[in-house]
Amino acid sequence: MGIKTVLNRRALHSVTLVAMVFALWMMFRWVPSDISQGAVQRILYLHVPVAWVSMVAIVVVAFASVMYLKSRDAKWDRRAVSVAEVGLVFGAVMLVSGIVWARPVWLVWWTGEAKLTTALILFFIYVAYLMFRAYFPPGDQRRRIAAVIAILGAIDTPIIYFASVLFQESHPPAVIGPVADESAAVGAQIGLTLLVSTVAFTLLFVSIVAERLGVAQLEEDVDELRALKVREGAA
Amino acid sequence: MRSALVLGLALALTVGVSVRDIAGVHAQAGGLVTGVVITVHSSDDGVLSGVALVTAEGETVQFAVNSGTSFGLENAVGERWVSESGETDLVEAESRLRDQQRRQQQITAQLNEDGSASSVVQARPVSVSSNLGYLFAAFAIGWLALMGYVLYLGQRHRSLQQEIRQLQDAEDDD
Repeated sequence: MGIKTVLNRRALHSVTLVAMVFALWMMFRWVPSDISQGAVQRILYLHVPVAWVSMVAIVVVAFASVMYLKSRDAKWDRRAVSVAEVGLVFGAVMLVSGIVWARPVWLVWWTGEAKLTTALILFFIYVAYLMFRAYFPPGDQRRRIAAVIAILGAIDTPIIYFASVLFQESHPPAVIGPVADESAAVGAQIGLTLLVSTVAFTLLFVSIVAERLGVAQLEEDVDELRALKVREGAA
Repeated sequence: MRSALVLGLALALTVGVSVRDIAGVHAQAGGLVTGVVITVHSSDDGVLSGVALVTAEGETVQFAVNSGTSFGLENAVGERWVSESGETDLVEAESRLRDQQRRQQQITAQLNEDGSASSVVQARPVSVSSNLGYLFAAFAIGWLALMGYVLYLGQRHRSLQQEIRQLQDAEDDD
């Protein structure tokens, strides 16, 4: 690993740390408590950003997979698996934070409505993608099939986003993006806190993916050294 | 990688079990029901006709409302609107119910035997202090998961570097 890469990563981690500390200050000190939900509403400053990141992550995995299928360059496969693994962790945090928020607000831990079900499906897509990679023998065939799983899995992202419009149920409507509901618009302080926390968690995601890419590179180096040793032993 | 998969599977199982609680929609006759408004129904001519709530047990309960239903609902700043007895303004009632739905407020309905509601009132307001445990739990679990994964990555990084050194040493010895 080059010194430039290490310095770039350190710069990224530093920016992430500053952004995260600022976001936490806004979440817990700056923004006032919601009059309807009380303190538990602050969970949304965690839930919404990690949900955003986990939805975008599967699209990034699909993009890297398409690039792999086009170029057959292993670096795209490494990028896909690295983003997918971190996306799984963020997806798990999205589910758990949503479940913990729902209990005091909706009075239930979980309902079978479309937004929640499609988010759960996204989590299972990540699990299926990584399980397949863990148990299928390494090689080009594994990379190709995994790429197809990722591309199919990315279809879930627009379904999750539009679910609150297509199926009007108890999940709060979208507050940003093309289908944002004006009647559900959040106040300036809440909106700004959501924006800053989304930026901070996106930076955290990119930082962790950068570390995971470093591990993926080492894994490939180990595989190459092992293969070399086997070839030499055979000779 | 394996640890992340095990974590993922454990979470998937936990969530999978909770999916069994998927709500069943039914109309309830008689008694009190408390829950969060999930749907406000209107008739073909646009007049408020019914409400669906999701209760603490995860059930979805539907009931009819009409001009004979009494309402006592609060807005976001705590101002209470009480309907006139027997002459409820259904347009105002619909607006108030949609506001309750948007803010995910709990309401309590007194139901008649025929499945209609005789009264719909604000349920006990959410206590800010009772919510703190949930807030702590959500952030604690979230940060533990993220930090646990970062620690796992660090450990994996070190073990791979050690393995590379061993393989290179073996190569040099040969």
